[in-house]
Amino acid sequence: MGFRKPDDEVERPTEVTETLVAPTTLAVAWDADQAVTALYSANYRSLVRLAALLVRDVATAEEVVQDSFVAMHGAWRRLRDPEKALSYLRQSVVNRARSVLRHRAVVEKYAPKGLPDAQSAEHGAIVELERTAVVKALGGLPQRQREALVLRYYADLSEAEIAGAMGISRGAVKSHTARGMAALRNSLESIS
Amino acid sequence: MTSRDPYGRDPLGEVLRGALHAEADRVMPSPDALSLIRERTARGGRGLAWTWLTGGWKGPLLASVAALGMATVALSATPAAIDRFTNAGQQSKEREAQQRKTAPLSTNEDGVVVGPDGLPVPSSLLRVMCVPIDPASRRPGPVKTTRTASPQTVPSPGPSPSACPPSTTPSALPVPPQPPPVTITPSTTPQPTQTAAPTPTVVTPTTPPTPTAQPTEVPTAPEEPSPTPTATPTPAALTP
Repeated sequence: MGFRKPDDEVERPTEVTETLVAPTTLAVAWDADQAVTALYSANYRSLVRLAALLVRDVATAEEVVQDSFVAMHGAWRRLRDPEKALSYLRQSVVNRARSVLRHRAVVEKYAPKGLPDAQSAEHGAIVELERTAVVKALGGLPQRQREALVLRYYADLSEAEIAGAMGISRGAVKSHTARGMAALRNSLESIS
Repeated sequence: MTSRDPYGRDPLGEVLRGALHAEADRVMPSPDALSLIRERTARGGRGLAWTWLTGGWKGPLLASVAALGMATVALSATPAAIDRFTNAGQQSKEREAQQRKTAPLSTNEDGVVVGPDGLPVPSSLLRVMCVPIDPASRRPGPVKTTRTASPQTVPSPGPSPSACPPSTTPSALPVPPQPPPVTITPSTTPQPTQTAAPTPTVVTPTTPPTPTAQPTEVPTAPEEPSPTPTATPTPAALTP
């Protein structure tokens, strides 16, 4: 599931409350509370999942995203635009996830504790093992490389958007992505 | 795994995308997050004000201005300025002490000698100086010039005329080389505390002897006709 912008009426998932998302023409007139409500409905889940992939802890991911929404509410006076607000949220989530990881004494202490899936088929078990190996290998990458890969392959952001979210240049995004993919490939080959 | 397949796709990327989405789909945010956010934004007035003050370009601007100001002060300060700044407190104390030296003293209703700030002056800082005055010229007031009957106009370089024995009280404060005759005006209603209390330092001569010398730096017009009236200025009563 990629990120859905508030004005993205076509691709918006059906579970999002439609009445809370205003079109772009009216979005300019939003106040901070309306912006929080609309962006929450459209992007909260994706942002929490993005943060969870970065910090590998659901509760911390929710705190990170909620802090980002509160900060966006305070900064709405100079944002006034859903596009800017979403970029602000993404960047805030990435920055706060970095802070969480920086202050976390043991990185792997808060590994994601997902619900165990029922593996009824052998194929499903193989796929699950492969995914687990990929996620594990992803967790072993340096932080910037992991951010770049998550923003690209989960959030489906462009290089420019990744650069904005990470606060780096597009060249650095390319570099981090290439190095991360190479390291991930080497890690998976060593496992297999 | 190869980086690209013949169709230009990235198999590892697809695997990574699927793994990330599968991992993310396990995450189910709590349903009451919006109420938590609204609660925090509703009560976060002070935090939001601080965020507005330091957010965006204002924070770095404030930090830059503060750093520039500190650097300007540090670079432009001369050694004299630094010395003056660091010794400001000491100079203030010295200035205050000097003002206390030169300011006239007075006595309060209890007869205690007080300084210009209204605080009692320690007896160790007071010097008793007895100056003969003409009883006829006694007038109420804190400080009064003495008028003598002697027609001397040449100031005497010697010590101040006094019929009292020299004061033995050590005085840490400098005394002018030729102190003028200083009197605490003997009021018509003598104050008992000046003689009874241990701190009084004012001695009122009842029968002043005729002075032998009177400084006549600033002659003033005589209030009463006299042969050669000489007014002796008293810049400070009971100069400590």
